[in-house]
Amino acid sequence: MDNEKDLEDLFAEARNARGPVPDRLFRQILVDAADVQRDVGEAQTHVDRRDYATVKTGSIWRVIGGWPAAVSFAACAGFGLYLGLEANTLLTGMTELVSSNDSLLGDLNLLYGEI
Amino acid sequence: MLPKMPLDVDQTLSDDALMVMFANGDPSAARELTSRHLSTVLAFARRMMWSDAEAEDVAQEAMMRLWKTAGAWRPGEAKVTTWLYRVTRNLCIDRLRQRQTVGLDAVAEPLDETPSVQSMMEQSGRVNALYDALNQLPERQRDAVVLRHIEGLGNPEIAEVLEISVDAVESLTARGKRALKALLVDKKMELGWS
Repeated sequence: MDNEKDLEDLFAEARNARGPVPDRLFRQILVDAADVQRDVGEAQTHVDRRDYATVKTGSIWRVIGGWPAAVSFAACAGFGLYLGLEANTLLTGMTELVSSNDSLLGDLNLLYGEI
Repeated sequence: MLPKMPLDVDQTLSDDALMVMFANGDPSAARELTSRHLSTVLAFARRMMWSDAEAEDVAQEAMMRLWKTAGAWRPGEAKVTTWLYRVTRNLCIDRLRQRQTVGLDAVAEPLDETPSVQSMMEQSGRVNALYDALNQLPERQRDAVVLRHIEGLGNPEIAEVLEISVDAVESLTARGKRALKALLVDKKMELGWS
């Protein structure tokens, strides 16, 4: 075969020999497309709801000061509890310390006297 | 049951725009994209697989992958046609290799009641002779020749489909065409060539 045109004609013949698309296949592909769109839509809705919950919780957390506020609150609460439970012991201890130590009273008198 | 889809989608819209519309849930985009590309995908799969049933399976799978990738589609990055050719080719190659692995004896006779590829494509003996010869070429040479001379793609697009350089496409096409001519010389009578 020497003639290039013969081969080109053959290619053209093959190019034009394109069978029809069955309706059944066309319809099935559209059903597949609708299924994919529905699945993606459902997944998106699920994500949106989760995002909304996360955003809502996050904004409340930020409004009340976040972790720094929580740590400070816990520390204050702990110290307050300690004071409440140990107040009697602390006061007794301090009173005893002051009344039993004359030098301390003397120092205090001196101090007040200077003022 | 078919989903209701309006038919009045703007036919001048680009494939990229239709992909974005599809990703945003517009069902009319699927119809338009299918109308534009299914016949090409199916014809290419038929040329590769030489079986209507398998070509239809491949075309359906390729379109399914297109739908699934719509959400991540980046307009302007790849052409839908090129992407579809690449996916279709890869799906066909997988199936053809599977055929070779399983072996023809182990494959049950297909219950395909649809007309054969030959009759569906109304192919003459000349076109059959061409495909016989094409199927004797190495895989890449055959695909390059089919994409260039039958599908009518340009070299840069073929390079994207085959995932090789443009130079490699030119070389493959030239060698494939030479080998094809040599094979067709033996079929001069069948082809009606003097």
